[in-house]
Amino acid sequence: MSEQSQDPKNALLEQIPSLRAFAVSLSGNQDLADDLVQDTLVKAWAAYSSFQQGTNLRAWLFTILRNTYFSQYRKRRNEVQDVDGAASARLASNANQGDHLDVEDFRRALALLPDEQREALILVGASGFSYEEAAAVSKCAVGTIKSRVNRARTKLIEMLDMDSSTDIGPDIQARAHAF
Amino acid sequence: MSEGFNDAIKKKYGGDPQLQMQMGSLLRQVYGSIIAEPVPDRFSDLLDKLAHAASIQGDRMRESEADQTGDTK
Repeated sequence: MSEQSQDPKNALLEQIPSLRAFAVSLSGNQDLADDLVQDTLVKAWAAYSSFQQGTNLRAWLFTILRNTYFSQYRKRRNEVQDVDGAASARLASNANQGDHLDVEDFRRALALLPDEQREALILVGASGFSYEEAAAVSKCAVGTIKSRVNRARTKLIEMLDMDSSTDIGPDIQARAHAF
Repeated sequence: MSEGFNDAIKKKYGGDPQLQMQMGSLLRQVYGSIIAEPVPDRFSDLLDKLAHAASIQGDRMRESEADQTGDTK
């Protein structure tokens, strides 16, 4: 890609949509997520000279973001979560009353996963990282990432009471193909 | 139990390819909808400020180098 020749401002600007998607999925909260992205950009700017040009900038930024999240934001998220606790608790009873599975239900179920499992699932299942790259971002073994992804999938299926006949809706399928 | 042993195992470990596909679609839907949002101004403003601060710092460093190499009275 053109990363090597870009100045840091444009290189970072280009990564913001990915950083926001990762931050929202990880923290489950838009406001926390945007603060998290802001902190990540400030740290990345300060440390940019240590980034090795030609290596994966997105993976480098994701590492900064997830380290910031786990060291500074996890507590804040849990405080916010408590307020939303009632909404989360409704999930189990409401999730799949019809056969139609709502994106909102899925979002809430995702937020209920343990942080490390959610992180692994997002990196591999949505951000498009390989298991090896995800392991490097999360600073753990490849086998650990694989087992986190498997446990995340199992839990989501349980929480959402999904089975093969679950209808996720034509709109979702159509839009999913766009990515 | 109406479910076969293999199905139960597959379900337990999330190994059913059909379910994984559905879950993958949902996950990418949630993620993709955020990627598609326009970048809020606060981030481009922030990067402008950081770039501006860096260029001022660069100027100051060049000035102080010039001071040091210039004539000292």
